[in-house]
Amino acid sequence: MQKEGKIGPYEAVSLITITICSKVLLSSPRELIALVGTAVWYASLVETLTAIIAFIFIYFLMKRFPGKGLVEVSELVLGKVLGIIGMMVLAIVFYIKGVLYCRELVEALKAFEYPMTPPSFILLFILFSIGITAYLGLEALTRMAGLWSILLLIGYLSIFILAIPIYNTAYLFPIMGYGLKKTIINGLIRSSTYGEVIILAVLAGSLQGTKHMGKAGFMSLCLSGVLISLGFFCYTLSAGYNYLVENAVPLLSFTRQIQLGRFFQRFEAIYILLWGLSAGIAIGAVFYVSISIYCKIFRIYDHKPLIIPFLVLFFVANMSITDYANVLLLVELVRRYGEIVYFVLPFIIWLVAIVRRMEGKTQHG
Amino acid sequence: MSGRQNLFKRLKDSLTYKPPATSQFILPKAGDEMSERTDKRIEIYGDEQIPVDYLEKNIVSEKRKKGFTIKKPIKLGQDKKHDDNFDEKRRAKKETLPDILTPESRIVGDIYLNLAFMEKEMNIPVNQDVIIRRFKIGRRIDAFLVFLDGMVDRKIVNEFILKPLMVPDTMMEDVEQTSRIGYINENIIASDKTYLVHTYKDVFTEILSGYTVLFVDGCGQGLSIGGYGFQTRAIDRPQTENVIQGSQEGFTENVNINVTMLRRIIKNKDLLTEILTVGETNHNRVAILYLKGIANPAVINEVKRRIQSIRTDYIFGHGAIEQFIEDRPFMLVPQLLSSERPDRVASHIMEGKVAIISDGSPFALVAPTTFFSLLHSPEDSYSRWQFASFMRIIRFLGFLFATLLPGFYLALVTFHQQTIPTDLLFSIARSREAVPFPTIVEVILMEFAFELIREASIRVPGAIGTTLGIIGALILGQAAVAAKIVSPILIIIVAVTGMGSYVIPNYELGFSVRILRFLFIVLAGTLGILGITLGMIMVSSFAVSIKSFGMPFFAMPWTGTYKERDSILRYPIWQQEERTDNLQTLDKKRQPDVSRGWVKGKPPEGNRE
Repeated sequence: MQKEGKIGPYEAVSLITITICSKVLLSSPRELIALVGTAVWYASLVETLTAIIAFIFIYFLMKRFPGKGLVEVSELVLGKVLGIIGMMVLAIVFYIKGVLYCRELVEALKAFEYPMTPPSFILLFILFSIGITAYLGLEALTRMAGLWSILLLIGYLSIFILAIPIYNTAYLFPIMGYGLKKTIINGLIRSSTYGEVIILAVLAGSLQGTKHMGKAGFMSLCLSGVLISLGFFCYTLSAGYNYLVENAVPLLSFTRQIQLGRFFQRFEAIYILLWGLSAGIAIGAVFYVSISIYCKIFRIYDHKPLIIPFLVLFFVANMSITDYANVLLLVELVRRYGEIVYFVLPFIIWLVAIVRRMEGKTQHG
Repeated sequence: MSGRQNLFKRLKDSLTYKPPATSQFILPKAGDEMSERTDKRIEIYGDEQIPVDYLEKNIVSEKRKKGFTIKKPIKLGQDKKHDDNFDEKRRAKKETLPDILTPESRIVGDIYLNLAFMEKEMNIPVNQDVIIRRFKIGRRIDAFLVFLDGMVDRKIVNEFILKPLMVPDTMMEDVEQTSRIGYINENIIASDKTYLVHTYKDVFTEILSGYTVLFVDGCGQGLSIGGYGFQTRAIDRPQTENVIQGSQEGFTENVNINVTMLRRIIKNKDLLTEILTVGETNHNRVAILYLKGIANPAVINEVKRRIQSIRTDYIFGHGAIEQFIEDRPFMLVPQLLSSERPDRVASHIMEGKVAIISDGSPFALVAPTTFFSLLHSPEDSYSRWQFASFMRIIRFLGFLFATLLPGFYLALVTFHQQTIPTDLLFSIARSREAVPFPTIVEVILMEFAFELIREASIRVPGAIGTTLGIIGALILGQAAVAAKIVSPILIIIVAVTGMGSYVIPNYELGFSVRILRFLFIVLAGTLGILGITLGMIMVSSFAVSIKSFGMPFFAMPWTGTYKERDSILRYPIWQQEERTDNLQTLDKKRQPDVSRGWVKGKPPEGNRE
């Protein structure tokens, strides 16, 4: 089987939290605000709760098969054909997610920071960096996430602290937004925001036990939930609803409003740093995981030879999307239906495992 | 194989993916089976590691099968015949030297054969600094000494080897012919350092290391007698690791002196020194030092395995060894710590690391090492923890400035002007108004000039070098600004960057930073802060993937996976109870939880509050 090395809970939590939270730095807040209004900050908590409940089932599933990854478990429970199909779908969704994330980032960068630079040029740079992280493997990827997590956390929180002068509590009202029902329904539907937590199940073999996997999963979900909700909360405090919904990249606009005296103003530099680092790690993670699942399905022992072909396809897929509007449309589509793959698929596998009374130990005899 | 088959094989090879054959060394936990193998000597044969005892057993039995026999010593009494035709016999032996004698062969008992073989191998008479002194022990037993002129202490040779051997009454009448050399070793030679050597290869190594080797007729061994007499540099202050507080001694170019300096600091019988010979032509001596019972045996074995596996003709010092044994030679950062301070190396040995010292270089290598160790200064240990921690933060900031500052300046000025505060933006714009070059050219030009000055000041000797550096920087900077080639603000940026790179205590890490800086300048000039960020991702990915002898090079203490109280910050010395987890040392405890015993005790009666 493919050797991926060992990762610790800290690194796992860092990787998953960064991958989940990096969405906040793009168009994600605007979409949710448009759906639930000023209730955005606790709608995000509903998403988190939904994801935590869904992850409990993933945890139960992985607990039945200790030491095995989701791909192996899926094959064991659903059989070769269905198991492979299920995992291929997961790999494709991760791949598409990476493509969309990358293109969304490139479009936003082009619109706000690099108006004269061709998108393909920015894309090539990003692909080069994620190619290197994928080449160096899971250990390097997770350790890098662990290394930068502190800096990212400090940068992320500092933006919200520096923006305190512009906060106005009146902007939080109406606190119910478009109504509690809408908030809860959207929170349930869009729980795929936290879907990257399934990466832990895919890489469970590297996580030194199901207990570690569970701990890392719940911790990363809670941390991501708090951070995203805090971001939405601060963003809601910064301006009225009608203004908030107009920003394509809300937190960037938010950062631009920071002004502390004559010298400390417009903290875009911090933002771009956070943007680049979190995007590099997040895209690298989903890209690597899609290759890893592919390798596990087809029993490929070394993922390195696949990196260049996958990158070429990645570039082609990115360039095939015509414009930013289409990117947003596809992102919304994946966000809305992503949980079918992230959460429903493992749930079905778990149910089948219960019905067929399958456990990892019995498989080994 | 025919040409066509070759072509097909090559085509097939080029189309077929082959997984890399090498595997990385993994540091096992203390107590594991692998780490228990402390005493086994290992030889490298191709890709295999074979224990020496196995080799010896098998090779000897192979030789026996082939009918190889070691020449038996002549019978007692034959030596009594006085032989005046020594030279003639030697010449005769030289002409008919059997092919079976090779440097790897065991020493034979025939003195003429030995002499002839030594002359042949040491290229006598062409090689004129090899001295072979032929004489008779007690006026009757043929013997000769071999040594290198200038390498040995002549006084020791004359007074303590030749003189006692040449007196008529050596009382060797009753000694068996084959036991003579043992008798001489135990009763006649007045030297504290003697070894019996059994093969010619060992004889050559001893002679070339400055020892005198004695051959005695009838004995299938040589006696190596210590007492080198060559001049070495005196112990001096370290050149690259100066401190205000702390020891002022630096290593020299001699292994023995360096080992002694370490022994003077670590007065412990378990400090072991193993000497290996590396370099197939220059036979450099390499000493490996570690503390038995603390250092992980797997690391020790791995260090030995890597050093023993070096197959090259010339090893000139620590730099060559480092390049041969480091885990990832294509990485910019050094993966072994080099230090010219015995106190620093000793503290690493006490931590459970392995020190490597070689002849010809006043630096010792320490394995394994981490990134944060490279940012430590020897002075940290002597200072109080608050100062040491503060200085480490300053050094880390210096490292960041040295790597990223010019890149960030370039990115902000070229791509993200809107992020610069208005007043500063005006100031930069004013200063750049008359400069004809784009900012990237300006930055590269100044950085290049700075590197020129730095390199020139190192090459120019003594005080002139320092003067050249100061004058070069001042005049060049002033003139460049006056000529409107560069903006004054860039001079400040380059100066701060330069100072940042000077605070990095490790010379090799400083080099890495200098190269990385140019990479970040190019990335910043291409894609601004995004370019720098992507560069940071790439560089950090490589950095975290490195392992130094099985230990993660970029071990992050904040991950909570291991305990480390002397990494980024230095905790008070009395709180550093344990050695770092990452090293998997056999003895993790450095001191008890209450190391300041007086805290628990009471002051004497009358001195209490």
